[in-house]
Amino acid sequence: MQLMNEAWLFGQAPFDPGNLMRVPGTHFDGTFSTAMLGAIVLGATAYWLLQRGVVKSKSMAIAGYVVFGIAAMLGLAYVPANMEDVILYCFSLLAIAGGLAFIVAREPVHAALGFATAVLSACGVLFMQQAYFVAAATIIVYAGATIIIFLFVLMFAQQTHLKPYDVLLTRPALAAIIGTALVITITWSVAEEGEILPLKIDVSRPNSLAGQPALGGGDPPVPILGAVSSESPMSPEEAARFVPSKTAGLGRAMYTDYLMAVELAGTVLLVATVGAIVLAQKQGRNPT
Amino acid sequence: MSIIDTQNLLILGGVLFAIGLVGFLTRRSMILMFLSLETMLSGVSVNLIAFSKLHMNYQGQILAIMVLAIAACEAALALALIVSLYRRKATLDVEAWDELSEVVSPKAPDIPVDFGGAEPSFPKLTPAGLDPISNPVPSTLDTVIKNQSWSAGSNTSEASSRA
Amino acid sequence: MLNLFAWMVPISPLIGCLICTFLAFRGDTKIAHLPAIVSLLFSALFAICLLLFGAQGAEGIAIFEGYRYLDVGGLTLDIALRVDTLCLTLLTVVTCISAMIAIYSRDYMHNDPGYARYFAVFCGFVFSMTMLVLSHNLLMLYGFWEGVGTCSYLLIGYWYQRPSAARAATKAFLVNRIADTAFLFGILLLGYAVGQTDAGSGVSYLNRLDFVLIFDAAPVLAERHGALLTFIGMLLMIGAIGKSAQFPFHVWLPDAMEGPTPVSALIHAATMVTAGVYLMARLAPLTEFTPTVLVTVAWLGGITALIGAWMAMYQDDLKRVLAYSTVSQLGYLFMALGAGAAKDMMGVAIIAAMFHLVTHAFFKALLFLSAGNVMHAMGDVIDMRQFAGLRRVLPKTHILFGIGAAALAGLPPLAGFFSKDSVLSVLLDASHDTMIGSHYMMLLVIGMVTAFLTAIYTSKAYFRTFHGTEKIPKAAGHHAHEASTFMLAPMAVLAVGAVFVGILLGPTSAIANYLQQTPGVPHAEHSEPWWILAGSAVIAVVGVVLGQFLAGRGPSTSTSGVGFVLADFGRNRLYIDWLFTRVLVWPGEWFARFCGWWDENVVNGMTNAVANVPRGLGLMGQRLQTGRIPTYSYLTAVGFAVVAIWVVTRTNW
Repeated sequence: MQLMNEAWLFGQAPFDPGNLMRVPGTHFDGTFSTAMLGAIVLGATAYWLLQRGVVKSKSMAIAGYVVFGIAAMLGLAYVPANMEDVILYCFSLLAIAGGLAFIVAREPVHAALGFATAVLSACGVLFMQQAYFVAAATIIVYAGATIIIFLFVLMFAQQTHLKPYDVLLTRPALAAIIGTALVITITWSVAEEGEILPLKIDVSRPNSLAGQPALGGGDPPVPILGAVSSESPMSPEEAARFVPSKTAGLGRAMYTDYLMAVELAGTVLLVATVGAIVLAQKQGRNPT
Repeated sequence: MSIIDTQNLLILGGVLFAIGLVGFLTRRSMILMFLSLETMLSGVSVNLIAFSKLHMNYQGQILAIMVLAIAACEAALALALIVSLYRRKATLDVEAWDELSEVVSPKAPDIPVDFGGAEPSFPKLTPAGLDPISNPVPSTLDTVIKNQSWSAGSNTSEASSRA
Repeated sequence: MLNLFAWMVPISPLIGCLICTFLAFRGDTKIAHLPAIVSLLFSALFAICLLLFGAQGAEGIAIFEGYRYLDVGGLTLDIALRVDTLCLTLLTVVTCISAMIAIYSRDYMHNDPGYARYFAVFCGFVFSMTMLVLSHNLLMLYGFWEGVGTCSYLLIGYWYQRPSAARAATKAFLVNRIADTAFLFGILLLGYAVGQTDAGSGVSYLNRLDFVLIFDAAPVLAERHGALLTFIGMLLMIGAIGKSAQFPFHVWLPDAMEGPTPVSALIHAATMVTAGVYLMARLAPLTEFTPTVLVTVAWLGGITALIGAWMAMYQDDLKRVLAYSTVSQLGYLFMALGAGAAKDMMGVAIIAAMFHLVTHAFFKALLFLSAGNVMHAMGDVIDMRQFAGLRRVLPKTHILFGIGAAALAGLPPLAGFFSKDSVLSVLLDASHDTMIGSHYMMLLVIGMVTAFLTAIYTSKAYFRTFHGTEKIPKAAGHHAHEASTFMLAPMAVLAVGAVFVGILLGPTSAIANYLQQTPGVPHAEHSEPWWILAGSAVIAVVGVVLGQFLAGRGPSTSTSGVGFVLADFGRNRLYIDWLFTRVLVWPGEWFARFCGWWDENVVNGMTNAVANVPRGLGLMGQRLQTGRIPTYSYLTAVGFAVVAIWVVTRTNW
């Protein structure tokens, strides 16, 4: 990976074909593409079988489980899984399985549980990427929101039997086709080799590069993981291995470079709170 | 962090996003549609974190935090809307809301109540105590019950003060 | 001074017209006659002043500049008045008779809801007519030509609630439109032709239409472009015979009797219909180079005179008799004009035509007003079968009608006798021409026959109306009475004119000497042989006696033979209207209906087909607007997927 020490992230950089960075499609050969395509199609088939099975018969649901298992194995078989990444892939698989369970579940309670599984697993993935603060915040927000929504589900749907709209789905086959097309498109566009514009460093936001003095960021330099000090700037090779995982760095960036964004987000939250209170009021008491 | 990991994470984010999309398209309960939206947002968060990792700066994480903030706002407003909508028609079905349809457009299909398959089974709890309707409280026992200390916490203090 | 007088002649009625229009919008029914009568009397006064003061000047032509109407680039148009003896003659007749008839109208139109409107259009007509007569170029003449046509239309359709009146007005307008289109083409072509000559080159188009320039260019044009000039003359002639109701355009005039009777007297007998004669006389310096046109005019006039008299013979409606009589007499005028084609006859022909025009204006106006009296007394009944022997009920009208009828029949020594004789003698003179004399010999015979028929139908109408057993229709009620003094006084003036104008102007050569002052009217000696005078008088007397006999015998009851055929053709207008309806009107209607069908089905169909495409697309899309969130989210998702696939596949990987 080549880092270009140029300062035009937000500038109008002229498009220069010689400047393009080539992204090699190293292991994404034909076999892999076919396998991923198969996995995706099988996953969609699994979804279809499951949602039919939930309504119609248990055998279809069991077939769905089987197909999903095949799809998962097919997908994982061609992902280079060194031992460090096993947990990551487990989280990924769990997230996908939870999402699938969420969208096929017949009962709202089960759906909410599936959703929680998916989100928590996604948080695990984030955690594995050393985005500790984001992972924690996501757990807090989504868990809180999930719990509240779960309560709403229970409150609204105090049902002795299922409502039809909990069970019946709107055109699941068409939705599966659209989703499949989307996933294939995404996979294709990320997996194929190609050229991207080279990385650009925005020196006007130094704190977002905290801990990377070699790139012109961080003043004063902060001791970070790996004990790289400002006195000994990182070589490009070290920087390539460097992971900006420090929560302190994130906080410094947030409250310095992105202070305006944070303030605006807070304002939006306040407005949303007020709006939610107004919206949820009873119409009879407050005609406005 | 290799670009291959990034690519895998991007695929994961895309799959999560697609699952949320499919859920949003197919589910008819408004709350579950809302949860589908949240799933899509979590897919986007994965995406952002992957790029943050790839680019070795905090911009992606900060964007993910912004997504979280907006998602919280959205959750608040969506729930408020769901509450007020539920008050109108006492249903969570989105198909129930088609007042803005054109005259010639097909009506919402009648929802079959019998959806086949196994009826959901709910846990049956053993009934405890007496049914107050079939077993009304005898008037002779009225004063006895009122003086009972187990009837309510506040009653206990009142009773003791009266005594 | 003379300039002011000349301009006051048209402006005075214009002021009266404006005041009456104002009163008409106020809904006046009481005082609208005052501005009209006063302004028309002033107009007549000024016209007589011009006549007495010799406004034409020593050269015979006086141009009174008005103002510049148009000045755009090289295009200028002056409004000016051209005064010469020819136009002064007609101007005096028009203003005097219109003033008389305006006075008459005061009581005739009494209590009519459109009182002020009537006088407004009346004054507007006099304004247009005087401007027409005084025009110094053809363009201005054409403008006021249409002006009098419009006023005629408005007055024929004066009782517009009556379908017959509305139809008659439309008919008059449309028939005139055909003729006026030819007239306009003739004017435009003439402007082009004059531009080809030395006199006309370098002059802007509109100014080429000045009469002076046209007459200067006429000899050169006749020399170089004889055929073109003949063609132009034919087109102008069509305009003239359209306005003057000559065959085959005569069909509108009898129907025009739907208007109020004073209007019939003024516009459709005395003045407007003579505009065609005036035009031909005015263009005499041009038409003398086109003998073909003049012979055509003479023949058309002869045919019209004969068939007009024929149809008048068999009409039961008193006003219709007079209307066909007008057609017939106008034919006389054109016959006289047409005689100008003979060698050295132009001046005499114009003088004879104008002489008969003047006398005819007097006695025909008198006859119409008398008929109006009868109609007034009989409760708007004008059918001669329903009344008879009115001489005791309407003694003064009886005398006045008798004078007019005698003048029309040509009894000596009344006006009609002299003027008709002058026409006949002109035809006789023209028949001596070696080249085209035979035409005029035949036309002379036709003129004699017409004079005989005229005497018959005139006396027939007179005796049927005023003699015999007294019979009054029920519509008259018990108040059949003589007309008021206000109505009789102007008629008396006209009667005096009908008696004395002929003997004063004709035998004394007064009108001949006067008209010869006009440059376009060549001087010519002319004598009337005694046998024409005597023969004409004998014809008139015999005709009157025969007419009295026919009136006493009553309508013929035979259903076969020559007499029946003649009567049938006469009653049915010689089937000319019948023929026009089938040959012209019905194909036009069919074509219009076809166009309507084409427009409604083909054109509209194509338009609707084009318009239905977006509508159909919209309806198809409308079915998607179910108002339900899943539909919209699915549409969004499909679009999203399509865009995603397109983005991924569009680049060359």
